[in-house]
Amino acid sequence: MSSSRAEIFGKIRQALVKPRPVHHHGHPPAPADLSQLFASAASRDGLVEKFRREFELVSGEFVFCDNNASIFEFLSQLIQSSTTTRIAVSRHPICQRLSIAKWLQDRMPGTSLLVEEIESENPYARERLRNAMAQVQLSITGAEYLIAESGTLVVAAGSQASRQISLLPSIHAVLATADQIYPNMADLFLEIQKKYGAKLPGSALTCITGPSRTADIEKVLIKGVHGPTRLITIMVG
Amino acid sequence: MNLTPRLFKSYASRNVNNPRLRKTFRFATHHALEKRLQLVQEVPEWEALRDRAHQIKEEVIDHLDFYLEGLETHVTANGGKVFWARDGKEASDYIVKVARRIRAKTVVKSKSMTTEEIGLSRTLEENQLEPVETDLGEFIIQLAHEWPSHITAPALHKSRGEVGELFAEKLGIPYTDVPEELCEAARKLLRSKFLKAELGISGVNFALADTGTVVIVENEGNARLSTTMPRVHIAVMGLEKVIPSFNDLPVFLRLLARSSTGQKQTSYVSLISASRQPGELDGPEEFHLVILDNGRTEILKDPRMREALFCIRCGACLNTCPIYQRVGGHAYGSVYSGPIGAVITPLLQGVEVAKDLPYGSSLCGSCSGICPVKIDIHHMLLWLRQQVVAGRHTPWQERLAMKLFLAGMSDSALYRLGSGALRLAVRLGGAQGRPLKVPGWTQTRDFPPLAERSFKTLWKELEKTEAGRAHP
Amino acid sequence: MRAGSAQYHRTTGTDPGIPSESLRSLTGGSVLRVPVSAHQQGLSSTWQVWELRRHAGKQLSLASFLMLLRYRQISRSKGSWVASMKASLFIPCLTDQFFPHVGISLWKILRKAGAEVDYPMEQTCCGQPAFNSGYHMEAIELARRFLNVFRNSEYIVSPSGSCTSMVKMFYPEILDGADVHELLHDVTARTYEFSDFLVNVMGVKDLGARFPYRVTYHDACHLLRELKVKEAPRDLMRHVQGLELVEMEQSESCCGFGGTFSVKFPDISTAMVEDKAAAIAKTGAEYVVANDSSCLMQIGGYLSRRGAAVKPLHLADLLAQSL
Repeated sequence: MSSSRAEIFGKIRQALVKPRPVHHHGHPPAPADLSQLFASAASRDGLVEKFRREFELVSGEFVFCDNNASIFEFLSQLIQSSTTTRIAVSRHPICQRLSIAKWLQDRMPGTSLLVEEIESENPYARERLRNAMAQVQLSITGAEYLIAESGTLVVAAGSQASRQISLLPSIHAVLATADQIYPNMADLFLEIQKKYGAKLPGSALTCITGPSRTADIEKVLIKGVHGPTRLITIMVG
Repeated sequence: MNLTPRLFKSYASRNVNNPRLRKTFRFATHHALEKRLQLVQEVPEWEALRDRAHQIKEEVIDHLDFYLEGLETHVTANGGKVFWARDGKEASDYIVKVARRIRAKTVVKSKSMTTEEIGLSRTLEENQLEPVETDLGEFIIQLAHEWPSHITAPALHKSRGEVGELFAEKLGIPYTDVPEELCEAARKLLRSKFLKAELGISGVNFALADTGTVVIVENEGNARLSTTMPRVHIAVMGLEKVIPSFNDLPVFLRLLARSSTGQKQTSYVSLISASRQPGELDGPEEFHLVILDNGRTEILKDPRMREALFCIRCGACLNTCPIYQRVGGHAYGSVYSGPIGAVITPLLQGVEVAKDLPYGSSLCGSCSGICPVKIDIHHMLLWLRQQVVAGRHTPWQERLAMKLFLAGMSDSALYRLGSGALRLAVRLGGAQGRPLKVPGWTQTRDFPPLAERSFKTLWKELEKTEAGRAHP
Repeated sequence: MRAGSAQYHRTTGTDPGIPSESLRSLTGGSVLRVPVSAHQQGLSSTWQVWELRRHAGKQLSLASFLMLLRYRQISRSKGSWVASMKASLFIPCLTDQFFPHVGISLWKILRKAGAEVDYPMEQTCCGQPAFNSGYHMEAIELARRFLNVFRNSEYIVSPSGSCTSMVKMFYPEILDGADVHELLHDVTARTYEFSDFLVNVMGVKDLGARFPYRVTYHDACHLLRELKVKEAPRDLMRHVQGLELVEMEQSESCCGFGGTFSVKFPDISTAMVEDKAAAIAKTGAEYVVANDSSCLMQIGGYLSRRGAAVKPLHLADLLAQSL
């Protein structure tokens, strides 16, 4: 095994002794500054509206709620219209702040609630959570960041949310706030690097842009292959 | 059809004369190009992004050992295990070994060209494991025992009717040709596989040297499931997939989806740095990264061909290629098709095996024009042709013809003599002013007649009359 | 403006003259072609000098102007100041053997535009057929030959984007590091495809041609993607009286010629020209125009086999119609 490593590195170093030929057709030098390469998507004006437009273009559903009552009204309509009975809520701070789980328990009789509160180092507990999650129809979570240019939600795996909660249920609703929106991916990545350095938060960061989709059969667009069929952003004002 | 580039000519000619296939590929490629164009026009920095991406790839490939060491260090520091594989067999054997150790039976795979390249599924089957392709397109071709006809849309060649018949036969569901119903049937079956699989295998779009992160780009969610549900995740990457930094990723992500599927971003981009960390609610317990050579260091050896390692597998050159549009991916007899396939396949398998591929191009250059990382694809095809000739893989008649051509063109007296002789022959043959017969050409097109007098002759006459006019 | 090597000196004739590169440097890189309308014809030369300076920008001093005049680098022709240039015809072998009229047309056009035209009789082939087939040794020999044949030419002008790109783009690739480096740089910098030369070097767009037909234009691959020439041919056509230019769908798609590709892969090549012919037919054009005889041979050969009414026409032939 280590001999393979040595051999590969040997071959690479030997090959690189010969330099690449100089290009006659030339490649002009490009700006190395990331923000310059995203200049056309750098404006911070109207980020909510921009995010909404892009999010809807990728078949996302966007709703703006300027008070708690309207959030709950929206959720109860969503639950009723989609005849949802099994719901999961993540432990993301925004879900806790709005007491989503408590509201569901108190006000939504007839639905069964799955809260991601388990002893995470217990493999059996994780197994149970996974099997339960596979039965969930609607999940309600938060996001870490939003990207306006592409209508993207960024979620992180961690103690506050599993990877699967944004993946297994067929409807995924995300609570977000306007201050989480970045104009483009470059701005966001520079910010993440400033904050975390070489150690990214959690084991996985996922950028979600619209519901799961495929066009593998005759280019016919189908939503909801392996992941959610509907993706909803609830912008909390 | 067999998976060999030796038969490119006959495969291509068969496919181009199949009207249904041609219609399918024409529609699909044009559809993708239109969507791409619309999005690219919205990005004023497009050319700068391409140049920057090219520059980053230059930097990586020129210092590949450095960045690979960085990647290894960081993956290991994050608790992952790095395995170096010289070839497909070493990679497959390692994966089988891991599967045995964890007593895996079902292995879910997300779409990966690299695992297609090394025929991983076959090895897994031979070792009594059940590999399940989970991307819808890959699932279809796995059932049909075929190979991908497009880098990003593997089942492009299949009509809905064919998929319907395939599913009815192999999955035992009632026949339907409604794509949504077919998709639902696959989803149900695959969901059960995800829940029971012990091992998940994915490819890698980018590997970040400074954080030890692998990036996987997809639309369906099957890669997320494959890297989340099973107990062990193994990612397989070609060693050229490393990029220096987390900060470089936005450049590539702004280019990739636009170039490939005409989306601003794909539905999911996963940045996976480690297996499940303490306190996390799910995710695999082990993360392995297999870094594969399999001929790539040979490509690296040839400075003129190094750019082939810049490829980010977006498939745009396939879509824009007038040849690919008409013959489809299977004609190339390799998992890598289209213009970039015509470069990579001879480099990975040897020019003698794939000598027709570099010649199967009109050299129109639209591939290089569309490539998001500005690989000089069509010029590389010219250099590969030179390698075919240098290896004496062209017919002796052609080599002789070239010698005669050179002799005739090296001496203008000889050239004029030949030109006169040609005209005499045409006149004697009674073919004066009549279209010439040229094998390979005249079946479908008229060839023009030889001009009665060549330009050289006309010019001499012209000089005489002009001189006469100047000095009457 | 694409300027060639500034060190180059013309060696023909007894008077070395001032090289045209310095002419362009005197005018700040712009091409001297100053239209003088009819009512100014009778005005004094002082006025004309002022006009010329105004058009050439501030860079042209009176002294420079007089020097240009003295060395006959500029002269009056039909109410315009023109810089006289010497252009050598580079007539590719295919044109020589099958389409000599294109070469004659090019001669007429360049003369009309005010250039002195010659044709180095020693020329044969640029080597592209060998190069494209992978026979680089053969191509290198012909490339060296080409450089020597044209070493004394001021400008080298060709009616083929493909052969021009062989010289400009691929000679530097195959002759890399060879002993001909300086000559290589020198010759390739002075080689132009003719529409590019007319519009971007001579600054001529209107040749006074008349062609009262509906035409469509096919972008030849090498001209477009190697030499990046897209607008010059269209500019020239826009100035042709009576001509109606109708763009076809996918004018940038390859016609399927590709040299030996057309006979090595006849099925694919035909499938490509089939779609090209359909796009042409859709425009209702009477002529399909291109700047490369090889593309026109492919398109024309297919059209004539199909008995289509639309005729292939080289842009040089079109522009020379009324000359």
